[in-house]
Amino acid sequence: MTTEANSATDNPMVFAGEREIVSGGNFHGAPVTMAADLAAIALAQLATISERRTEVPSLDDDRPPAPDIDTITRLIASGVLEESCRVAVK
Amino acid sequence: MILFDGNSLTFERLVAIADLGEEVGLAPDAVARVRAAGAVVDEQAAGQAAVYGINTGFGSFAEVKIPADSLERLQLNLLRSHAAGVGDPLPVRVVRAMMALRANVLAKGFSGIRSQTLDALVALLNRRVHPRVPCRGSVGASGDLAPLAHLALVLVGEGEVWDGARAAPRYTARPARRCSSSAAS
Repeated sequence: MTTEANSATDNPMVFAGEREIVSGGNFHGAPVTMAADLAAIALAQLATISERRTEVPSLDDDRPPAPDIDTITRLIASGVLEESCRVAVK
Repeated sequence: MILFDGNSLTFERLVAIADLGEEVGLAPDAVARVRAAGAVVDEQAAGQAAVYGINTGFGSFAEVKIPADSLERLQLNLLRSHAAGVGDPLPVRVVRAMMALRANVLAKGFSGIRSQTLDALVALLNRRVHPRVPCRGSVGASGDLAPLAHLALVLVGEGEVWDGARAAPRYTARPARRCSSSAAS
């Protein structure tokens, strides 16, 4: 990504030293998108691992009965994870 | 201040410009390179030979030579015809990143841009004038023609810019159209 960000990506390109203007294909940005797609897939995998490692502390026994926070937290994590995986491979 | 020189833009610097509004400028050696390349374009544009992108049509008209007295209109029409993206406007931070990336590439001195035009792009960043760039229409494999055309139109006094207010987008007649959205920062 850093290489692409510091590369000449115009078409045509102008070479002042040679006083030449040359048409080429440096504008092709697909290699960056492939790297980005791979990074997204890897991040989704990391999210999967992270979701499985989630531990929600149990509530103190002396609190009044409350909705099952553990369940809803896992539900939300599942939803976010599902979306992450879908976005990563879209 | 971060100086664009076409060689030293890092992720950290890009984020500083896009999100933190870090001031930007052009490195002195970059200015010299840009001027030298611009002179080559002026020279070739004045000549008789057909040079792609300088005095020809584009795409399937790449072989068609455009007469010298129509070159200014050719370049203007190029921007207008390509500014046809669709979808919601990109968030301001993404537009700022686009502007910074483009300024950096232009600073390498292989593009033939006039140094005044590059100065104007840098000024847009520093004065927080952000073009409205639709999010769909980039094909990657052929540059970012549509998104960049929306960006560049603002440099010729057309197109749309964010005004930063938190109202619904407004699309009024050009030139100097503005649009507003909560996505602006």
